[in-house]
Amino acid sequence: MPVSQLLLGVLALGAAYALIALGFVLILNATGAVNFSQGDLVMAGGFGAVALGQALHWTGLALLPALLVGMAALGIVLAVLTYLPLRRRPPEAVFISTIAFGIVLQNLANRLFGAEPLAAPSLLGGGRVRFAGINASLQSLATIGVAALLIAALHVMFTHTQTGRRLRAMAQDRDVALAMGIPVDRMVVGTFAVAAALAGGAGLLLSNVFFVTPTSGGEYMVKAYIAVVIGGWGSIAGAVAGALLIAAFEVVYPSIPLLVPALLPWSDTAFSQTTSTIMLDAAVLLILMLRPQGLFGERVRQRP
Amino acid sequence: MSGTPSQGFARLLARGGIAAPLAFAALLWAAFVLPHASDYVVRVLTVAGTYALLALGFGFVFGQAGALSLAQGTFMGVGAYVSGIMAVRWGAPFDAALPASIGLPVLLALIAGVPVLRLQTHYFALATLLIGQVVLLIAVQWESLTGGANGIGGIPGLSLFGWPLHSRLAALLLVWAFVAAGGLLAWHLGRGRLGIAYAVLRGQPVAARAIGIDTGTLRLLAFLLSAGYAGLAGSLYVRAIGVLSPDILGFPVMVTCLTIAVVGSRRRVSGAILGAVLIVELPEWARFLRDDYLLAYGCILLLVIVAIPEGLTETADRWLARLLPPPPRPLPAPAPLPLISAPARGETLLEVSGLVRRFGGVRALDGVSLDLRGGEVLGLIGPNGSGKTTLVNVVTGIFRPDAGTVRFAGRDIAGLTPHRIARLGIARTFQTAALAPDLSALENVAIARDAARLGFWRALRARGAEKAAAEAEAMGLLVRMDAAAYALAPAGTLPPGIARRVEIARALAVRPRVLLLDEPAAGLNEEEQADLSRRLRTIAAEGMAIVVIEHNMPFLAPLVDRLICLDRGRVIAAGLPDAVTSDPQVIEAYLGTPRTVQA
Amino acid sequence: MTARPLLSVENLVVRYGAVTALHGVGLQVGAGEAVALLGANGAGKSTLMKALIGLMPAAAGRILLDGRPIQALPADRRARLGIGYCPEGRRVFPGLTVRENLLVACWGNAALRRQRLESAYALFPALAEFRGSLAWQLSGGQQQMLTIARSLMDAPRLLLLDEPSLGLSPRLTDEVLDRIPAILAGGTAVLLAEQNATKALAVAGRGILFARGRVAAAGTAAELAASRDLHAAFLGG
Repeated sequence: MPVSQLLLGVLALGAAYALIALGFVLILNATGAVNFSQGDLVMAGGFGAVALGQALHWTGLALLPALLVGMAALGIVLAVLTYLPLRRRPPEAVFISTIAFGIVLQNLANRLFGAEPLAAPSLLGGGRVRFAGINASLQSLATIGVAALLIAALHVMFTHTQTGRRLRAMAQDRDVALAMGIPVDRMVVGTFAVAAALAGGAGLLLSNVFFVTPTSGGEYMVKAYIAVVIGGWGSIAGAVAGALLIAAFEVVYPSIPLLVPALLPWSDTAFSQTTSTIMLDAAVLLILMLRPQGLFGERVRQRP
Repeated sequence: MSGTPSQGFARLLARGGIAAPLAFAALLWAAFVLPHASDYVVRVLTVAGTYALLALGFGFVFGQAGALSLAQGTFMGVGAYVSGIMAVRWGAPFDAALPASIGLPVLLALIAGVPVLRLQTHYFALATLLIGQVVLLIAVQWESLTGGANGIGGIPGLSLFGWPLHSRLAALLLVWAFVAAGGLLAWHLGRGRLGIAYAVLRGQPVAARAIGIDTGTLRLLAFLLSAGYAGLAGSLYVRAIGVLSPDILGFPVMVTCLTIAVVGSRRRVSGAILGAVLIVELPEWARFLRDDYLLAYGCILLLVIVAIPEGLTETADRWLARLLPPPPRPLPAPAPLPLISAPARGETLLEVSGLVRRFGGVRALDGVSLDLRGGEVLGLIGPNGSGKTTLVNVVTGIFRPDAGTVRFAGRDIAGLTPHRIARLGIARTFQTAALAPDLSALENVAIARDAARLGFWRALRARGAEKAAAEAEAMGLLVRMDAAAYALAPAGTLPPGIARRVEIARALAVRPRVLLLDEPAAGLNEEEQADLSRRLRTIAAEGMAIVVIEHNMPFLAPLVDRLICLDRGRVIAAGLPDAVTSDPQVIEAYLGTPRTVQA
Repeated sequence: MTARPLLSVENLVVRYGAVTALHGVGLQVGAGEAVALLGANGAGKSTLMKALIGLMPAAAGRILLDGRPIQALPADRRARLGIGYCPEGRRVFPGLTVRENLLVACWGNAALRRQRLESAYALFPALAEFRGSLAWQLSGGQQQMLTIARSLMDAPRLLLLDEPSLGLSPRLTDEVLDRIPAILAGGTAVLLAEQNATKALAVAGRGILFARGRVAAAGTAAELAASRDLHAAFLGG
């Protein structure tokens, strides 16, 4: 398998993970709170895409706008129920309320769709493209394209627009931000809406390749959390980098026996997907123990 | 004792809160309803008992230590797996497997806990989440040992000393006997000085270390206890239901535990038990919820954390306290405490030499040296960022110096942990009085007396009277600082001047020989400042060495014997106050020239 | 004062739970004036500032900005109406650069933002030097200058300056307070809460003395500086 093929796989998976991590870090930056239901929002987006696809029979790209709007509405509900009432409490309160919201989403999905894995429609229809010795699916290319566009737009928004600067300011000192004229609560709700929409997009992209079940959210949540921790808590570029690193690990690790034929006998045990996850978790635990501020450091520090 | 039964009942309510009526109701139910209950009801109640144990354990790490551990369910699962596997492979009965069922989760907590407990909330939560995920995946992978995704069936039931407990009622009683024992232990540990120490650890972790509390060990203790209780709960659970499945390691168990803690109470034993019974019974009362019981848990968790965040029992106790105010407790008689164990006027107590500390590229301390003798008051001035607070932080062990030495009474202390340094005899106060807001002033000061005497075995053997000695001494210190009138007031309600005095009393409770005060006059009016100045001079006269960081020159200059001015990490002037305040370098860097009012 | 005052506070009552912090306070600030709010800690100065900007609710009384009652408006609305707030304790946005700290408080188009940035750098040249640095890296004095400059970025008609000297060396306090005449000249009235009475009265035209949540004395700067009331109020506590 040529390295470029692997690289494409990493980029496609990493792009989807990056969208999830981005939504997570957006809420983190705007509110200082951890949204434990981010993964379940992705799951909701996936099921939303499934439902829309079954009703309308359009391609994923056509469904995307409606899905994003619907997910944004869900994000507003999330903000109103789990964050706004608890904004002056210690951070663990929001941990718990978002865990609760995630549980509710999971079980509602179970009720409505059952436990069988379902697939969302692909973005542009099936089909493959050949170039430069790579045989790529249209879906992976479209995934990379959509994600790259969204990430670039968000980056520009955060660093070069007044709205982005105000969002960052809000996260750091809510009261002073209010006193500067920033309508904090309105912007918080808006942030949750955008983060949920991003999750919805990720859900559409991922559920086509990986199928969606009510419990898929938990895995995605852990990955977003890991991406943000290793990329540097609060850093948007770091979250994207972290997502790509995780994707790289997940794609490369099980492929090691293909690259090193001597290890082939162990491909079902030491190099299975499950073991891959175990190794990733163990690696992150090690990073947490040795260098908790992430590979790139936390952005905001206290001046001692 | 005189008094009507209703008065006695009211006294019981006032002391024990809602726990007393709950226990009474439970006993009534057990006596009259239980003997006629169906097998099914008994079985559900048995499971509720195991979850009560799980929640009681969670109360140590989440309630006392304040750390949101998401591995509590995992520890229960590990206990279940150990007991189940030992039963199936080696025919080990419940009690023979018990030490390993408790021991392995505790060992896991020890290995994982030491490096991750010091992490902040958002990292610690992830670390415990990952531990849970890894254990679950290993259990599913390692089919030969664990039965993989299908688990193992036919686990034999509970037995004691070779006698199998065939009836469901007997199993129920055994489980709840463990709950009673576990609850008693948790209650006993929480109500003594250990409970107070944990309250300080939660509210003000840095200040806790500054008064000699070993926060790292206390957190680890809480984590190990929680793992042990969870292991016990798991081994009881797997024997009670007879099936071992990887579900016990899944996140839903953690969610249930969290829901119980939030709904019932994080810290109170009665809350954990009540919560467990309510939450486990819930799907039974509302049959339509049976398939969606997790959905119900989610909604309840959300509702409760938003509306009644302290949980049912503490909220009920609060209402009860309003209806039946508890009797005012008498103030302990103050016991005089000589401030210094070994008065050492004139003896050099603190020697700082060539101290360097960098943060990133900035040299916060760039070769600072000073001496401090017993009985003298040294003033430390300088612009912001000149290194004053960093100097105090290095001396008290919060930061290690990059170069240079710190010697206390001849002993090298650079690099020791803050609580060790506090116990050796260096105490400090903070820029904003760092008292634990929910504890009374008296409790805040008394725990500093006891910081060196904390520990699991001590707490186990403790009796109610142990607190009395420390409280009497604390009272003496409060009298000395003229804050005795506020002894029983919660520290969060104290006016700033009083809070400052209580904080100094707490620092004195550590029995220091060196006292480092960070902007003690901030927030005090002129009368209070003069009063503080007098008190500090009296304390110095007894042989204490005092360092005062201040910007308030009218307060500082008459108080101190010597003055040191820092600028950009270096000492730019040192000596008698008059000489330093008229030093041109000090005027340039710090004081400025006096201004007059325009007419 | 024949013209309508810029700020008029009437019988303002503010409570912290069961404790009343302000007992029916009344005062006025005219356009182009600098008024010093004096008094010991705990007298209520910061509470008044927070109530004026809306970070603390008023239990009773009125706050009028140019004749318009604003006591029911949320803080962000009051800021947009022309009140600048410089909180005590140098509360910069630590993770934003100096330039970004200034920009977030400016509500206008790109040209206006550029103009206001230049004015800020003119007022505090040190900020221009550090414009790309993250705010947490600045020294205490620089952070104080940043908070003041930031509160001026929307060209407020009234600036609430809460204890700028807290934690600053005497020399830096002078540097900071010396900017007030320039701020006045720019068309912004100033209400300055300060513990350091001498320094405050050196830059203000009028002074109001607070004690225990009430106005204890008022007058021109010279009158107050000379009066006995000042000393009595401090010692009375």
